[in-house]
Amino acid sequence: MGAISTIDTLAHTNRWSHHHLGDKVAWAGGLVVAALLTPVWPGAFAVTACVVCSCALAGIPLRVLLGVLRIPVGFIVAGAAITAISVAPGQRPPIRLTELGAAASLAGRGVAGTAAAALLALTVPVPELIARARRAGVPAAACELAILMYRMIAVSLDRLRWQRMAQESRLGYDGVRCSVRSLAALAAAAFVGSVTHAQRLATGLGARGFDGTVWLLDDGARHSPRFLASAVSVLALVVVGSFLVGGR
Amino acid sequence: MIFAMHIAEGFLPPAWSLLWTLAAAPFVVAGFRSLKRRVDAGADAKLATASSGAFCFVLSALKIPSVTGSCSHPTGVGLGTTLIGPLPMAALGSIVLLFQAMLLAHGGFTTLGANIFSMAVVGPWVAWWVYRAGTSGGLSMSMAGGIGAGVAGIATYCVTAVQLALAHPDPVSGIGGSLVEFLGIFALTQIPLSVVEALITVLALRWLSARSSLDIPALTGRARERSLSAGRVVASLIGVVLLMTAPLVARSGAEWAGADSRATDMVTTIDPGYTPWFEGWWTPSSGEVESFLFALQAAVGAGVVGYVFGSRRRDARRALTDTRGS
Repeated sequence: MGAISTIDTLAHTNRWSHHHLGDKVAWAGGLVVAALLTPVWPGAFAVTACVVCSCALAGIPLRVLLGVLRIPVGFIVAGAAITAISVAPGQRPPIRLTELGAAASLAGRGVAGTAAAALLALTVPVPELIARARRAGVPAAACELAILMYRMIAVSLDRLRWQRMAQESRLGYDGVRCSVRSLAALAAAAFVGSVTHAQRLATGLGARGFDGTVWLLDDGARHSPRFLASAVSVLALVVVGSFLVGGR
Repeated sequence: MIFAMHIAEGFLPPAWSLLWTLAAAPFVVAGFRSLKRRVDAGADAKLATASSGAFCFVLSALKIPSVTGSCSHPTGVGLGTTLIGPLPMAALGSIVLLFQAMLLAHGGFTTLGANIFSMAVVGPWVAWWVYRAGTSGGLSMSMAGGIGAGVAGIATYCVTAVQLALAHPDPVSGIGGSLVEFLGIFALTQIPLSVVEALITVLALRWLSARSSLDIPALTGRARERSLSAGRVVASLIGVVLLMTAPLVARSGAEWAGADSRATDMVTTIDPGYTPWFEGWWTPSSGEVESFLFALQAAVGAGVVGYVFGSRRRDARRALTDTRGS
């Protein structure tokens, strides 16, 4: 059985997994907010440095963090590059470079924010987040659907991988034409698979007296005063330091 | 390698993040309401709904070999909406986007509202409208769904470009210039992607309707029964008349000049010494003749449109009596 993603696996197994969800959300969420609100120099650098240190402390390899950031950073670089050029029709020259500083600060903010969001994703398992959201008052229907979806995704993705491997071994992705046909077949099969999967589950669970109640269990983690205190003090240091050094 | 146009964390200023979250919220709430009714029906319905949500996530994990050589992902919005409907899609789509942020680190948490708005609200509704318009206009279910998926892909990309342009206006040419830049750069990846997604959706829907025995409203043709009723036609005609007269009433003092003369005015303000390089080879002898020719043109157009609609309606009625008679 394959895992959903490296991020999901690490979220369950990292060294911080015994910490209370609230502590981790306070730290990583605080870093996201700090990346948005503090002056880019030195705020964004401080936030990125905090994320790298946290990953080291939580036992998340730097290689994984960089791999996770690769695609969002591509988007950030493209977006920031677009803001760096300016198009003025009817004027000469029609395309010119402007506001390199603004583009750089946008890129810095984006990278820092994405890194902080990645830290949150890498340290917080989805089921815990959903269970906590339920206790925080999010409607039961939404939480139950989300947790059921989470449980089914692993199976669906696994099925998809096998089907894709079967198609690939029959040269199903040889050329664009073939690839489009194979992908369409894969999407159709995914839908049929998801419907039949739900029917089989309903039959099996119905035989065991399932009445539709989905239990969201508390993992019993306690707040760690040390973790929380150091998180809050480092956050305060980052925010105050950025405003002092960067000015506003 | 920009796929599915997730706006990354930290890329929108806080005020815009809040605004897009507020804009998306009513649709997501309405979506969950519609799902709640379905889910409360029983355990089986709950499992089926969750499984269609898982299907939406899995769709977005398919890798398309893109034209540019990199790998891209389809949004799966068109196929999902055709099979599930637009309102449930807003709810399931927002869970999918949250999962993409949590499990794949695509998108972000403060930009989640903006991403939900473009991908789980605008995309599905556009796909649904195009799909309904296509099926009631006589297209097959798979064709209409495919065109809907393509148009939804382009609509999503346009909305994302607008979101980015509003947040980061160009210092020289403002929001308009910035919009042109974002649309231009992302068109390189997003337009080919939308075309590929439309093709995949057509083929997938065709397979599903031809070879699977599943009882899905979209597949078994029950969705097509509610075509245009007389009441709806009258209501939309009244709407058209209102829309056309409203500006005349609202701005009764305005001078209603055509776009041509506005353009001529603009040319003379930019370059007062401009001499036209082309003259019309024939000028109508009077204003009345000109209006008459305009009216004639409109009448011919209306006749063609009316003929097409009439013959389509006759064909549809004939097909209906044929199936009833047999």
